[in-house]
Amino acid sequence: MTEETIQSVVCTVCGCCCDHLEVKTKDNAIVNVKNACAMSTSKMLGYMNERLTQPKIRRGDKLSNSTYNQAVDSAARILAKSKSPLLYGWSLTSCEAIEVGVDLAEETGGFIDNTTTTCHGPTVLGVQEIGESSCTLGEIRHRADLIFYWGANPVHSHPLHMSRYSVLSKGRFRKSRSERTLIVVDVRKTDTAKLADVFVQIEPNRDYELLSAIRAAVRGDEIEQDEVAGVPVERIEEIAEKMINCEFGALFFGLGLTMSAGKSVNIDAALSLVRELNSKTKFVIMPMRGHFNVNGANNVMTWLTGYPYAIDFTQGYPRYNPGETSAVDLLAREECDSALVVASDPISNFPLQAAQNLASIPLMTIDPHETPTTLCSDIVFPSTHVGIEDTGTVYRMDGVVLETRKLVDPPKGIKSDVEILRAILKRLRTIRRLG
Amino acid sequence: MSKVILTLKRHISAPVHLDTLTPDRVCGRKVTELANEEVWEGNRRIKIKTLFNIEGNIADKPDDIALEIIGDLSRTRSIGYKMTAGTLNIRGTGGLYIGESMSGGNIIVEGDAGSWLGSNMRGGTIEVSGKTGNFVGAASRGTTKGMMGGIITLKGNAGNEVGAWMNSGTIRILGNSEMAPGIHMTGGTIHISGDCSGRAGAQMKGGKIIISGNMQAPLPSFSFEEIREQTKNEKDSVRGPFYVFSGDNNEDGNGKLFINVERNSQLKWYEKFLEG
Amino acid sequence: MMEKELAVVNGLVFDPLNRIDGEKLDIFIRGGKIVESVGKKARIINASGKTVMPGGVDIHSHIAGSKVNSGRLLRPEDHRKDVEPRTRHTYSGVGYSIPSTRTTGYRYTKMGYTTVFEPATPPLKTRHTHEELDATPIIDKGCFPLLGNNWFIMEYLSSGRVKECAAYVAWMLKATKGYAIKIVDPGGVELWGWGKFLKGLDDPIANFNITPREIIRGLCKVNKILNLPHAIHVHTNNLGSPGNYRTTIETMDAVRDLADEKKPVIHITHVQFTGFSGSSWLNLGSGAPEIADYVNKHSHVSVDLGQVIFGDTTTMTADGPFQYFLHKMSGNKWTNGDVEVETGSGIVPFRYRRSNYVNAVQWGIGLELALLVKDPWRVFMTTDHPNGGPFTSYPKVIAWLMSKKAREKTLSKINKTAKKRLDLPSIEREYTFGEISTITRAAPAESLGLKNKGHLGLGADADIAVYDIDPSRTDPEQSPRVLRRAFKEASYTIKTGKVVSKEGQIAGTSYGETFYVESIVSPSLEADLLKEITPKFKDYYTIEMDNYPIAESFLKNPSRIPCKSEV
Repeated sequence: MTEETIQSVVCTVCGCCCDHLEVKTKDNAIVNVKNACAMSTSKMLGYMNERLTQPKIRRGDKLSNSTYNQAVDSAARILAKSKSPLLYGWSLTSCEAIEVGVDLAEETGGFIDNTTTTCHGPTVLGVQEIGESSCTLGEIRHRADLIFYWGANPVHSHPLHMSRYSVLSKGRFRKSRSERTLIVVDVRKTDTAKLADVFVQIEPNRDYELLSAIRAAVRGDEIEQDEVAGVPVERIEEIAEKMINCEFGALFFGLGLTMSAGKSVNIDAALSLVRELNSKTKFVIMPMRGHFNVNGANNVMTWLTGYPYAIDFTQGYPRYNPGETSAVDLLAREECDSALVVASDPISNFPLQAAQNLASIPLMTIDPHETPTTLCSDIVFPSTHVGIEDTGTVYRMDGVVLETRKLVDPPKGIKSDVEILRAILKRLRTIRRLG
Repeated sequence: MSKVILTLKRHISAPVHLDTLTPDRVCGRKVTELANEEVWEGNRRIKIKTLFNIEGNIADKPDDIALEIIGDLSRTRSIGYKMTAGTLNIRGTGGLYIGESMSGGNIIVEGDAGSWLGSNMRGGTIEVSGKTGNFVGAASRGTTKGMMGGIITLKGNAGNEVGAWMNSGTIRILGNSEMAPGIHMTGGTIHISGDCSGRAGAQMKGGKIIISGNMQAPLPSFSFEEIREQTKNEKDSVRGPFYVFSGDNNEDGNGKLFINVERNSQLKWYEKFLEG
Repeated sequence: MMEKELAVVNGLVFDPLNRIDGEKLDIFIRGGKIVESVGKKARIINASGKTVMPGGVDIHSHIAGSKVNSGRLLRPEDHRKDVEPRTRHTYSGVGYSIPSTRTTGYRYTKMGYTTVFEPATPPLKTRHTHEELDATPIIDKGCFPLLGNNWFIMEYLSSGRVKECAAYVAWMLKATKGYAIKIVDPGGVELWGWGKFLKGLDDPIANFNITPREIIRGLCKVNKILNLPHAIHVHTNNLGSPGNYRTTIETMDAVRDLADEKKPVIHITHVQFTGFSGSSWLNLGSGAPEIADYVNKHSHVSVDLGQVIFGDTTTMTADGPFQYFLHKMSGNKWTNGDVEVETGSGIVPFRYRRSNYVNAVQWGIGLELALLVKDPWRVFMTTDHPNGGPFTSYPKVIAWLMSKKAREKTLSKINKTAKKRLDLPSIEREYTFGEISTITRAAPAESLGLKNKGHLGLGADADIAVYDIDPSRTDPEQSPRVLRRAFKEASYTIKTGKVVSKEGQIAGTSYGETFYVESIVSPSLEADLLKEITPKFKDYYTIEMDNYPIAESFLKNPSRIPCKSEV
């Protein structure tokens, strides 16, 4: 009987990457978690559910057990033959694995994309036009007296965000809740909105208009309409007043803004508003990244290729243009002839046409769990959980890097994403060399 | 005028980059040379002759060349890239980036066209008979200067962000436009004969957008100026009357939005600003 | 098994640290080191008619870390201009002003540089810096943690607790695997945390009861106590303001009494950006003569240029307030990244134009500085990549320094009013090959305390560059084009005894070492330190103290440089 208590464990669920978890293990299993939110506890205690235990290769219409080496060889052969392979996922694995993934994409002459493409892609595109006034989360904890959540519902999506980093946290210069004002903008009164000092209910898909009006009010320009996006202009002017008069404002935003009609145009407006506010006071903006290492995927891909997602290696050098080189668009136009999915479930969350096309081409998946994507795959590799069965670095939503810990050993025979990807890359290079 | 006709002879399943297919890049070459030239299909280099049957002869001067490409080219990229002269006729669905950075010559697409048609255009003309994707005449990602000249005419509907970061030139859409045409525009003219989904001229600093159909409302950062009977789309007169708005005030812009009076009764309330 | 042996023969060697100035010498290599002799089986590289120098040492170049990567993300349009397709021996990448990491390593190598330091890493995010440095092939590297706006340090120094501050700094260098104390706009970036701007060296910093002068002096004392190999590396307050040459001189003078005879105690970096005279943009001038005069008279300082190159580039520094100001002035897009407890950053694309009065004066300032400072051991060549221009422009700078004709050519094209304002046209001095070797290799290596770099003596690391230019037959003053071509691409670059580049072709990839310093303080002082900072850590940071220090095993090839502290 071996029991261990491990401190300062980094959670691997959402972009908060809380690192104050205390995990108790017994006989190589996690038995207790302290300081974690419900999502995190659920993952920590349920990481063995629906595990894949064996590599599989599809024979006919059945996925049959295979050896690891056979699966590696088959995967490498598919990639070697492909004219336009897609390597997708990456946000739920470690930076070390993503680095190998980029090299694999370059070696195959394919496309590599991560989940940014379906969530904060618009944010990246907006930043590339306007820039981003931002900071690390601690700056907000210490200094912010005005906090917005726009199209984000952290009570459910990032449960410890408010208590660790924003309105419910204790900072050097803001010691209590009463020293901060919380404004929530959303299409309905979410649980986060219920905690707000000011709740702004916005008409769906009218975020750009409201941001434009707020910016006009901040500038002191007259707004001719009586109401914008369902919000009376007097209210808009009040909000603008609060923004100008704060000492340090922070605007967090989520998919409610990035996926609202207009997408990157909305983020452009938000980034421009925050930029403008810096001529009057201190203001920052930060996207609420959903997955624990999507920011890591962006960072690794950027330092290796110059671009944060949707990269095309088909011509031997990195090309980038979301809309052309992004996974959903490539699949919608049926331009890929094979796909390797790592730690992601696109069959479940891609638009129908893209998902259908993905299922129709040779599909290989690396994942700890069975998912609809693994069920549609032609080759499946079971893998370990980063931050539970394996270490690896991850990037928090604000760019702070943490090294996750290995808490328990993985089930016998299960390898890490890094190992599997390295093996496929090595086999592919050998196949190429032998012609 | 010499005609060169390329007819697609097989299905394209991976992206094909055809940036070498312009009158100025093929001029003076022999058909067999062109046929043996290589292009990218996914990560493979293939000879043009494996994709197209080529007929005709190639003149010595690009002005004298009429290049015709026939087939379903929806998976191609960059036909007409940096074209300077001659005619390019696409008979079928065009792909992405048609006429990107072109500075002269004429491109005609007898079918639909993909996104980024005429991106970074400097001169020449493009005409599309079907519908187009997003970012017609737009700048490439991260740049703040887009189309600098030329005329784009779209007979069908256009997608989002037509003319993003436009600096000069003309875009005419005979059908409808989706959202945010002229976003960040600094000059040039966009004329939409049909309807616009919204946000025309978002963050514009200059330039002119004419909407002959319906747009629910201008952005709140635009100011109503006056009603004008007509306006000009470069040299052509366009009959109104139009509600005229200036903006985008958020960018200290002096761009102009012309929105047709008759098709936009929901904007009648602006007329109160005309009194007194 | 015999180790690989190499001999670089018949070259004209410039090894200033060993007083070799253009002698024809053979260099012998075995086991990655310079040795006395080699056997008959050694591979011979014939450097006849060529210049041989130690591999270049770049003391200040922004190549890795959070703000560099934010810069890359910000500028897809910069990357499109300059792509690197993959080859048999090299990964693909993108270049121009903010190259991807592999392209960075390859391009430095092709230019004959073998050691590069990332000069500004925010400690909280330094794990990121090391990930990128370890993705930068071939060159040896290191990084300087940013400490000049750090809450712990400001608190220690404001209560006069220098010894305790030294213990903290030692702990920080170990935790970040950093190499030197970097100070950027001391106190100013903390004010910028509130969106406020600093006025001067004696402005008190809100909430901290300390002034920039006290921060600089305190950290200078700490540096001496810890016996760190490099001086405090300082980006002064008021960067980019007309008249700021005075701040530079004040800053250098602020630690004059702390000078020792041995080596400089303060290094002012990219001094062009803080070398402006005048009172407004309209009458901006060069403060280079005044600064050079001070440097010439005071041996406790060293500087590096931060030379401006005309063209498009990307500015990125930890000087958040300056970067905001640059955004307002240029209208270009702007990214800002403040870091809790520690520092900040800002990124703005920028174009330096010949026709622009201010940019032209800036161009003149860097060169005037290099030409007016007499001691080539205390002035190093940099462009503060990419702030002044991409590091691939170094050959241009070399040509300007070595050839008055090259300077005149550029002077004839710049804004005429600026030309009149500058002293540069009347300066006759031309750098010799030996002096170039000093300011690009020997001196930076010595300043960094890297005993086995920057020279070709016995026992030195076998990092060597062979350039295709014959000093005995080429008149460098008359042939700037020949100079630029030669220094753009080494005939051979040898790293740790292996040929890694030949005429611009990378031959085989390896990964260099990451240097970091460890100054060991007494166990009792360290114990007190941990007792004091552990509870504070929880209050200040949003990560656990356990997760903050970077283990040596995190780095691919760590190389520890121990120092004996005084406490």
